[in-house]
Amino acid sequence: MAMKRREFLRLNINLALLSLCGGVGAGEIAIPWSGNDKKTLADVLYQLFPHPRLNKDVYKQVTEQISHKIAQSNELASMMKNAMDGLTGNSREKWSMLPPRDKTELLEEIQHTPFFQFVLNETLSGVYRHPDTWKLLGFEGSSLEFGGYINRGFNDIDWLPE
Amino acid sequence: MTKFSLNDPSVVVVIGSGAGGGTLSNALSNNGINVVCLEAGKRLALEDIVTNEAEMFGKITWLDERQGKGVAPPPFPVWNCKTAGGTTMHWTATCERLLEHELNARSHYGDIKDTTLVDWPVTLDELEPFYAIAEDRLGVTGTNGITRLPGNNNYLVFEAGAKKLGYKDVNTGNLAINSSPRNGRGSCQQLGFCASGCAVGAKWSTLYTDIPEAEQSGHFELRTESMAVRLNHDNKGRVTGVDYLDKNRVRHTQSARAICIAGNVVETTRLLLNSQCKQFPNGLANHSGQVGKNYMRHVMAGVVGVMPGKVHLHRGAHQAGIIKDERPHNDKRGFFGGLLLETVNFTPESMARFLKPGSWGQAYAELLEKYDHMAALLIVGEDPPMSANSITLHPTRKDHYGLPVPIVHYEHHDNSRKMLRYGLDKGRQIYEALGAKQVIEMLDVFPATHNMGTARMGNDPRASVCNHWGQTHDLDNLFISDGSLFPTSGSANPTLTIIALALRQANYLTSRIQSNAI
Ligand SMILES: Cc1cc2nc3c(=O)[nH]c(=O)nc-3n(C[C@H](O)[C@H](O)[C@H](O)COP(=O)(O)OP(=O)(O)OC[C@H]3O[C@@H](n4cnc5c(N)ncnc54)[C@H](O)[C@@H]3O)c2cc1C
Ligand code: SF4
Repeated sequence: MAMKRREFLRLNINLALLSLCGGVGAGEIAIPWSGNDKKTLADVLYQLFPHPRLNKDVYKQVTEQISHKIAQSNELASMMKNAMDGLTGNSREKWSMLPPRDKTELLEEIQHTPFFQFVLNETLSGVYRHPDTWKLLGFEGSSLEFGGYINRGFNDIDWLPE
Repeated sequence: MTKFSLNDPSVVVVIGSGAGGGTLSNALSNNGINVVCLEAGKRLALEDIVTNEAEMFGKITWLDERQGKGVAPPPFPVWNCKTAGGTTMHWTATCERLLEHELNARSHYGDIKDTTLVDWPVTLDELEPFYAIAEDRLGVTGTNGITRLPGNNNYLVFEAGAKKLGYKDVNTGNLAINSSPRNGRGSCQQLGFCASGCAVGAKWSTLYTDIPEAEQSGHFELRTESMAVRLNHDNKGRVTGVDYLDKNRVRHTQSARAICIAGNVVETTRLLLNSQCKQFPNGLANHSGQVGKNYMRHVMAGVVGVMPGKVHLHRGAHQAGIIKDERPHNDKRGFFGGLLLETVNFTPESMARFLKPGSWGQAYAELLEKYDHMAALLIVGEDPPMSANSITLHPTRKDHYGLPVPIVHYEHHDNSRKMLRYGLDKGRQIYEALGAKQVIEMLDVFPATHNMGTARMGNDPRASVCNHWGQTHDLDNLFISDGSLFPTSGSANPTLTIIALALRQANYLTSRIQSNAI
């Protein structure tokens, strides 16, 4: 059963890829965002760099940043719609119900497309530039205002062998 | 502030205000020679430097289009700066001298297939006095009685692992970073953002040393947001001036008595190639055909160890850690030349970008969550010159200045592959000796940070672009003043040698001007 469903989804991806190759003519109108697209995109971002303990707002904020860029480019907007249709088989609800493994598999199929690379790059900087992520990872961010680390543990390692 | 008019024929024009251009400008102007320094970037104040990598990247990095071929990363093959102070803003300040055998690579390593190995036309004896001046001026730790920096966590891991492997020559390195206040600059606060510009000025940069010193001489004008695009010459073998674009991309021509180019290799090459004309159909000063060839960037790769305890590698000076035991040439390792191991650090974003480029998904996110347990080092090794490694111009693509986009082509020599394998294994062993849970190799992921070789010095005008002063063979009053001059790379980070050569060139050029020979 599962196999069959994946095959079906894959077909959709291929369609999406096909349309991605088509490109967009100048002067076309950017496809307006639907709330569901944003939700799906936010979830895609999460699948790219899933940190379960990270505040979900981080992914929402990055989604907003990416949406903003997409809204300014007809080409990106069209790629985005195609990618979403491909990933979700025209039903955003279905995507949200897929188990993570299937989502990963579907994303793997489009990982070499320009749209995926755009999203990956934006998500990487958005997520790993975020102070909440820094906190999760143990990075302490800007240090100038605290006088650097010279008195704040720059050499506090305590587990090394004598 | 001193200003010179466009048609003032007395000025020496220096192109670029980084390590080479900043140093040269300062030395010349303090010898009483009038200097106009054209700098493509803006001038920042110390207050503009913040401890935020992404923000500084946008402020100081050279972001105009370039293309990488071979193993040079395609969209961003070279990492350098476009700002007053040049890449001395990004640099992490390791200052090693070249060694005798490295300056005589051809004699020591022999005739190696697929290389253009040569000996330098400059001896170590000739360079040493200038190295000494440079180390004093930069305040290099470990020289002139200057204490080395204390070791930070990333260093302490590196040192402990190195000792387990039996390495002896291990310390926090010779760095142009103040361990205590010196020459009007404060000391390192272990801010941990060296590659984003040092917000306290502890790390040497021409921005707040040579440039203001030159200005005090009364013989110097720094002209920022001025992009040199073409050099002009007469038919007597002399350059006469330089065309540049100001911030509104309006073209001006500055007359010149002599021109010194220190654009950091890629731009130096581009400027020469773009100045081609009937007399120099392959690019200015390129009768040898060697301009843009023999491009070197050091054999370079990274190793990250996921350690059993926390490291917090972000706390402290990036490159305050070096192992020199592998630097001597040693046939038994199966390759010629030597390598250094140096500490390095990454922010979460750069770790995510470089650890396994292009990776995503659960496993990668889990790996990145171990950020605070990571220790990191670089290997930096001697890179043999190869004719095919080159900087050329794109036949059709233009950047926003309307200049052809540079193409950076770089491949590894077989020797480099062996050295990489050897160095990566050593890096891995350093961390495994301390119980690393996982070790990741970063190979062919970094843009070049060291650039050398594309206008090599030599005694034979048919096989080199410049003589041993960095004066082009073809045009008497045209000089190259950056890493382009290096006939071979050695294993040392290049900047101290760029500075030593610039100081030496300044003496020569001064005497030529004073005796009216130029
Ligand atoms: C992250 C990083 C770390 C580094 N760490 C070290 C280290 O530890 N040790 C070491 O030895 N080296 C290090 N380096 C390398 C070091 O920064 C360079 O070797 C050095 O800055 C080169 O000096 P330069 O004068 O040739 O060029 P730059 O310092 O790059 O200066 C060139 C200047 O010329 C300007 N310019 C270029 N073209 C034009 C034009 N056409 N018109 C006008 N202006 C122009 C540029 O804007 C720039 O300001 C590092 C580099 C990086 C990126
Ligand atoms: S670690 Fe030291 S040198 Fe590096 S940025 Fe901070 S104060 Fe400057």
